[in-house]
Amino acid sequence: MSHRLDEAIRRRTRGAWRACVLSLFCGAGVAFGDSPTATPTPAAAGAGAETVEPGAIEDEMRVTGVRTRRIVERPSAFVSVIETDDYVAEQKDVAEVLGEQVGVQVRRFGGPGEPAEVSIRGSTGSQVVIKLDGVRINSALSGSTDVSQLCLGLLESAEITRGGDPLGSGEGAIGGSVDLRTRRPGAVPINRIEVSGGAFGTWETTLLRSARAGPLEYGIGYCGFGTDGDYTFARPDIEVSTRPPTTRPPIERINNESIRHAGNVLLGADTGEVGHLVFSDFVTYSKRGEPGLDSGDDPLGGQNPYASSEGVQNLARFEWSADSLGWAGDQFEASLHHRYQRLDFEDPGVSANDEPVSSLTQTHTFGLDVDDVWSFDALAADHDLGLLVSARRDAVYADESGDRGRTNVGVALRNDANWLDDRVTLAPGVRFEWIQDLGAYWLPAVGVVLTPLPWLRIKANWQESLRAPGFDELYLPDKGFIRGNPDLLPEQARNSDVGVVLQLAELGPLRDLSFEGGVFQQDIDESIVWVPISPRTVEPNNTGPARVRGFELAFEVALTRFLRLTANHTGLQSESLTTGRPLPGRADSESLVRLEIGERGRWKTVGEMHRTGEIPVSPSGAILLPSRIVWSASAAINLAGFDALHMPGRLREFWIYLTLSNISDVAVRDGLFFPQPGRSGFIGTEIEW
Amino acid sequence: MVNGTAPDRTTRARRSIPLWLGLLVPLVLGSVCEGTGSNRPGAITQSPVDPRCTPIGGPFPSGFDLLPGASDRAVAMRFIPAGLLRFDVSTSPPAPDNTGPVLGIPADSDGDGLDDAVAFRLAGFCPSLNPNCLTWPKVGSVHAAFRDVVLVTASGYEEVLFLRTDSGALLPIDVTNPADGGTHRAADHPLLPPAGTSALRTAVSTLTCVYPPTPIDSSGAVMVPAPQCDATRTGFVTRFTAATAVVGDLLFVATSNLFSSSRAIFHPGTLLIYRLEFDGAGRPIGVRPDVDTPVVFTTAFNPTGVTAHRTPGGRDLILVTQTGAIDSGGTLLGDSAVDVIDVASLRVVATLPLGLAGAAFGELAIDPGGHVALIGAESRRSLYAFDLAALDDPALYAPRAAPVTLDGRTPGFADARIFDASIPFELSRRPDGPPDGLCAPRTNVALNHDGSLAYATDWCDGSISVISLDWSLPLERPISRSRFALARRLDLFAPKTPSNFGLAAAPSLPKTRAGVPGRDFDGPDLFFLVNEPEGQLCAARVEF
Repeated sequence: MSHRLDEAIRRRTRGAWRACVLSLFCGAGVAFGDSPTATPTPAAAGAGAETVEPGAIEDEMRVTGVRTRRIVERPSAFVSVIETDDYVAEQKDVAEVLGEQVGVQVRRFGGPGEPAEVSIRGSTGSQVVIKLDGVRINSALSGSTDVSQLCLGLLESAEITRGGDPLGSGEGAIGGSVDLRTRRPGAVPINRIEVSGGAFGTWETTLLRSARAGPLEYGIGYCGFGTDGDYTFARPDIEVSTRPPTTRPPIERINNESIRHAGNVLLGADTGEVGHLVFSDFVTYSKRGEPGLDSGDDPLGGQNPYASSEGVQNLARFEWSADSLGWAGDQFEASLHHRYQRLDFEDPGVSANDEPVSSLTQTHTFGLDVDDVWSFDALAADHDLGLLVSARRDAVYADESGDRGRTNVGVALRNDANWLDDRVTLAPGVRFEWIQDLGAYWLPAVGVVLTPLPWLRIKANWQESLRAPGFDELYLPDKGFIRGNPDLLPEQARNSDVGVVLQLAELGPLRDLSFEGGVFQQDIDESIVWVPISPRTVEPNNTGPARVRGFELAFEVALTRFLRLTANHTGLQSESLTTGRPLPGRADSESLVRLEIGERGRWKTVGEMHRTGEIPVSPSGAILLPSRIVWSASAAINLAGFDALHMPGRLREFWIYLTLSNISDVAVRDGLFFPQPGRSGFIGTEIEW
Repeated sequence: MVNGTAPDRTTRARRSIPLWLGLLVPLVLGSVCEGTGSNRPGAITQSPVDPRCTPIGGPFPSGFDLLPGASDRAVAMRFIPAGLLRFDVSTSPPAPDNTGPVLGIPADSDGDGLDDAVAFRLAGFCPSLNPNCLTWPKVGSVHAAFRDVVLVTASGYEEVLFLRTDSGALLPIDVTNPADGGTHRAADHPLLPPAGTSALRTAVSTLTCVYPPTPIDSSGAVMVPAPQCDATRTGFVTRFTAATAVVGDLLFVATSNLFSSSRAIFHPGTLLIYRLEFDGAGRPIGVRPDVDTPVVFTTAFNPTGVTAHRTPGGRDLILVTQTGAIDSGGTLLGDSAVDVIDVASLRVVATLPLGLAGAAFGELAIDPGGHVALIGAESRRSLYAFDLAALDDPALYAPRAAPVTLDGRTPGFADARIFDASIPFELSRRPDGPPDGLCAPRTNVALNHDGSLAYATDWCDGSISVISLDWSLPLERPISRSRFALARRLDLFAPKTPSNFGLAAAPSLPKTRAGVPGRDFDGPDLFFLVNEPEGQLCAARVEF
C-alpha cells in the first residue's frame, strides 16, 4: 500500500523512473510503462522494503509499501490505471474519477451520493464487472454496480480494463472491468484526515491509519458522507419540430438527503518465507431518500417525497499469496470472500391511489479465487502461463420474489509468450464458465503486442465474453407492471480492438509524454433490454444483436514541473442490428481536457473541460439529451509544503482547497428523468502526518 | 520550532492567522456556490421515427380526437408535461399546430383557489396509511365535444377539465353544487363549491360519494363504507374518471372505480350525470350535477367508454362500454358488457353482454346509418359487434325493475349480439408477429365515412386490418355475420417482437376523418396513435 510519502517520492521520481525504464527498454528491449514488471515483487512488498528497479540510479528509487501482488495482467489489454492520490485535494468522488478516463462513461442518476453506474466502450452498467480488491461487487439482482456507494478516500487505485475482460473477470465483463484497490499499510505509519463540505449540505470525511506493529501490518479507515441533495434543477421540455416548447420553472430535488458510513479494516502478516496472509473487511451503511424520477406533472415533478431505503454491505476477504512455490507456481494467490448486502425499501405511496411498498432483500455471496502463474522458457520464448479458478455462490433472500441461488464456476488458462526480447508477444487464453441453470460456455481470447520501437507499442485483441442475466431480470415477481423473464438467454459478445501506445520520457521541453489511440468493435448477441410487452407491463427480453464501434484517443504531457495536460476523447457509434436504431444511454462522444498547473506537493490549480455529446435516451434513439460542456476548477495549497508557514514538523501534508464544479451552471442529465446539480462549490482539507 | 527554541504564544497565534484565513475564506466562498443548473438548459429534442408520424413529445399520449366542424384539425393530450396539442391532420405526418407554447395544467387545476394536493388532503381523501398524500390530475381521455372546447378526463384529482381548443388554456365555467334535493346530496361532492352555491372553476370535480344498491365489489366481497361518505349507507368515492359524452345539455362521465390495482378489484361502475349551460355560441358556461339522477350504476364493472348514439328512430342513448375486471397485466377477470342508457329517463334500459371479452377502453364505432356498433378488445386480437336495431324497440324503454339483457334469452327481445366473446370476429395474425406471451394484444376499431369499411389497429402486430361491411343487400335481423369480411391487412408498423424494440409500433385508437376521401379532401383519412417506442400521432391514406 503506498502512502503519501511514498507517493511524493514516487511523483518526484516518476519522470526519471520512466526515463530509466525507457533507457532500459531501449537497451534491453524489456517492457515499459504499464508493464507488470514495474510492480514490486511480493516478497519485497511484503517486507515493506524499498524496491529498486534494476539499473536505476538512486534518485530513481521507487519506494513502496505492502501492496497486494497482482498476477500478470494481459499485456495486450487496453488498461487505464488511476492512482487516486493524483486527485488529492480536488473533492472528486469515484464516479467522477472513473468518468474522466478514456473509453469510460459514467451514467449518473443525480448528484453526489445518488446512484451512478459505469459504462465502458458503450456497454451497459451490468456489462462491466466492478471489483473491490479483486472481488466482484456487482449486484446479483441487477448485474450493475452503484459506484456512488464507494468512497474515494479509502481507495488507492483503480485499474480499468477496456473492451472485455473474460479471462480475468469472467462472466459479466462484456464491456470491461474496473478493479478498485483499497489503501494498504505502508512502510511508514500513516495518519490521515480528510474533511470537505459545501453545496447542498454535502460533507465528506475520511479517517485513515495504517502502520505496522511487529510482524503485523494493519490499516483502519472510516469514510462518512452526507448530503441534503436539495439542489434546484431545470426542467426542459421535449421539443418537437416546430412546436414551441413548454416552459417549466426549475424545481428543487426533494427527499434526496443521504448518509453513508463506510469503514475498512485490514490485517496482514507474513507466513513464513514466501507467503503473505491478509484479512480485510469493508463495510458500508447507507440511508437515503428515494426521490424517484423527474417525470411527473404534479408540483413536485413526479418526485416521491416519502420513499426511502436503507442498506448494509459487507465484504470480508482472506487472501494468501506466495511466490516461487516450485511446481505449484511462481506467483500464487488464493482468496476466500463473503459478501453480504441488505436493502430495505419503504414507500408509503404518493397519491391516494398508490399502494404502499415495503421490501427487504438480502444477498449472500461466497466466493473462492485462485490465481497461479508459472514462468518458463520454451519455443524460444518467455512464457507466463496463468491459471485462474473462481467459484461463487449468490443467494438472494427477498420477501417479494422469494429465495434464489446460483453458482458460477470459471476456469481460465492463459499464456503470455514473448519472443525477440519482448518485441513480439502473443497472449492466447480461454475461459470455461459454468453458470447454474444457464449452462457452460467457452470464452476464447487472443491478444498480440508488437513493439517495433522502444517507445511504440501496437496492441490488438479479439475475445468472446458473456453476461448472465441478473436475478431481477430472471425472476422479478409479476407486479402487473413489471416482471422478470426466466427464459432469458445470456448476452454473448465478441470484442475486438487494435491500437497504438506511445510513451516518451522527454521530447524537447515536454516530459512524460504519452499517447494512446485505438479503435474497437463489440458485437453483442441477444442483448437484454427491458421491453413493454403490453400497454401496462414491461419485462426483459433478448432483443437480438447489437453493435458498438468507436475510437479512443488519450494524450498526456508535462511541460516543466509546473504544467501537466491530460486530454482524451472517445467516439462511439452504437446500434441495434435488427432495427438500425441507436442504443439508448450512450453519448456519441465524450472528451476531457484537464490542465494542472502547480508544483506537485505544494500547490496546484486544476481546470477541467468535460464535453459530453448528445445522448439518446429513448428506445428509438429519437429523444436526445443535448450535448454539454461542463467546466470545473479547483485550487489547493499544501501548507506543510511551505517552510515559511512553520507548520508542525510531523505534518507531512496539510492541504486546503476550494473546488467549483459546473462553473457555467449548465443543466446536466445522463438520463431523461434524472437531473443533476448545477454549479457546486466545496472546500476541504486533507491532513497527513 | 525555530533554532531549537519553542515559539511563544503570541508568535504561535500570529503564525496561525494565515491558517485560519485560509480556512475561512474558502468556507465563505464555497457556501455561496450553489447553481440551479438553469444556464443554457439545452433542448431535449425528439425526432420522428416514422415518416407518417409526428412525435407527441412525451412518453405517450393519453388520447386524441378530431375537432367537430374542422376535421382537418385534431387535438391530443400530452401526458407529461400535461398539455393540449393541436395538429393539422390534412397532411401526413400531422403537422404541429400550436401557435404558442403548450400550456401546462396548473397546480390548482380546477381553479378553486387551492392547489389540488391541498384541496384533496383537506377534504379528507388521503388514505389513512398515507395521510400526506399528494394528488394531482393525471390526464386521460380527450373528447372534442364542442367546436372550440375539449373535455379531458383526469384521475387522481378526479375531474373533467374544460380546455379551449385554440390555445389549450383552461376555460373558466360556472360550477354549481345545488342544494340537497331529489337524490342529490351536496355533501357527496366535496370538491364542488359549498351547497347551493356557484363558483367560477376550470374543471368539474368527479370525486363523488355514491351508494350502490348492491355494495359488492368485483371480487365478490361486501364493500366497506367509505368514511368520507354518508355514514348511514354503504358508499364509496368514485375514482379513475375515464370518459365523457355530451347529449344536449347532459354531460355523462364514466368512472371506472378501480379500488385496488395490485389486486385488480373494482367497485361498481358509475356514470355521473351533470347538466351543462351554454352561451349563445354553444360554448359551455356552466355545469352542475343533475339533481334528480346524479349517478347511474352500470351493470358490469370497469366502465371505460361512453358513446352518444341517436337511434334511427330518433331516441338519444348513451352506450357505456364496460371492460369488466382486468388486472394490470391484461388478464381478464370479469365479463364485458355495453349498457344502454336512455337519455330521456336516465336509466339503464338494456345491457348488451359480451362475455369474457375484455371490451376495449373507449368509444364504440357506429356506422352513419346506425346499424352496427363495433368495439375492439383488451388482451385479445378480436372485434365485437352489435345490431343496433334492437335498440329501436319501444318495449325496451317501458318501465321495469331491471335492464333487459339483449342476448336473445329475454322473451320478446332480440339478440343484439353479432360478435361477442364466444364468437368474435378474429383478426388475422401477422406471420412475423410476436408469439402469445410476448405481447398482450389490444385492438381498437373505427369505421369510415359510410360504414363500409372498418379499420382495426393491432397493438402487437403493428398492423391495421381493413374489414369490409357489406350493406348492399337488404338488412336481415339480426344482421348476419357474413356481412363482415377481412378485406386486407396493412402491416404499417413493426410487430412488437423484442428484436424490433425501438421501431414505431403498437398502433391504437384509430379515427377517421369526416367526408369522402378524394372528393372532400385529398390528404390522409385515417389517424391513430403509435405508442411505442414513444407516443406519436400518425396519419395514413388507406381509402382511394
